[in-house]
Amino acid sequence: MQLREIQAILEAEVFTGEDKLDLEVEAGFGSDLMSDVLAFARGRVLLLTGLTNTHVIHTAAMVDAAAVVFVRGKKPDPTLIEAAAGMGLPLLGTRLLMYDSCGRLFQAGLKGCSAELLGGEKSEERPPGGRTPAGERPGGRSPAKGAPPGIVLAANLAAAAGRA
Amino acid sequence: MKEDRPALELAIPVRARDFLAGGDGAAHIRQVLQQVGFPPAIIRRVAIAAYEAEMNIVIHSLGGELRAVITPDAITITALDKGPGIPDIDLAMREGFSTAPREIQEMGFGAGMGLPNIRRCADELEITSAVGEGTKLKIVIYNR
Repeated sequence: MQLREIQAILEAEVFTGEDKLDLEVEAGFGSDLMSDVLAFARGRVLLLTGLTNTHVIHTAAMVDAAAVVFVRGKKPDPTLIEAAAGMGLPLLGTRLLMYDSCGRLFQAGLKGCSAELLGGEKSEERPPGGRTPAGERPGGRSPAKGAPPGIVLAANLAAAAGRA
Repeated sequence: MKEDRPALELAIPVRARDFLAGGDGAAHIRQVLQQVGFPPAIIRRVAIAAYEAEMNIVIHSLGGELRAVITPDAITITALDKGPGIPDIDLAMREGFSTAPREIQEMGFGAGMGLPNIRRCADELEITSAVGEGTKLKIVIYNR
């Protein structure tokens, strides 16, 4: 489902990422517990949450989330919006409550992340025999530009990582 | 591991109770791995494990350090802290068990998923802890 469609369904405002509404979202994940997001989110998810602290965007980055929707009319502060913009992470906000937001999206066809838990498939992050976990796509997000200072071996390592 | 393989080492100090900066270390490690060009699935596991380990230092300890040793074959994350230590590691590894105070839960952490999350992401996990002294977590994730 496209982010644009999600915005319409949730009657959401866009805090940042107006230019990224064509992004394709694979599944939805609603939680105020960031550890649970880290544990259970799979694929390019839309993260729905009522938390507006910095851990939300850190967590979204760690799981390669496509975008974040703040529910219950919560508004992130400008610093957070700026940080998300720098990461290329779209932030949206809806006045709808969590249940209603998730319900509307599910009804419109956006699935959740429970399938592999219920299907008896291994829910572990660790892929058996090096298999890529479901939903992971190489190149899903382009690496940040500009190497941080002090990294001298990165180039060598990049070449070697390619060989490994 | 072959000795001639280059290694990249990072050491990031982690301050206790600094919830604003908590996660910056893991974000930095993730960024470096992206620049080096590791597969996204590997980066994701390292990032999640490093983030949880970093938040554990922030929440539970008196301060510590997050270290990463990156080689083409494996990424080793070491989280070292000074603090109360973990009296019962088996209990701490149990999903849902947490000693984090209420205010931490309001930040989205402290739900007793930290160590279980780390174990889920790691190929190897070694926890050593001395009560009243501190804790050391060694997390190895192979690039395969």
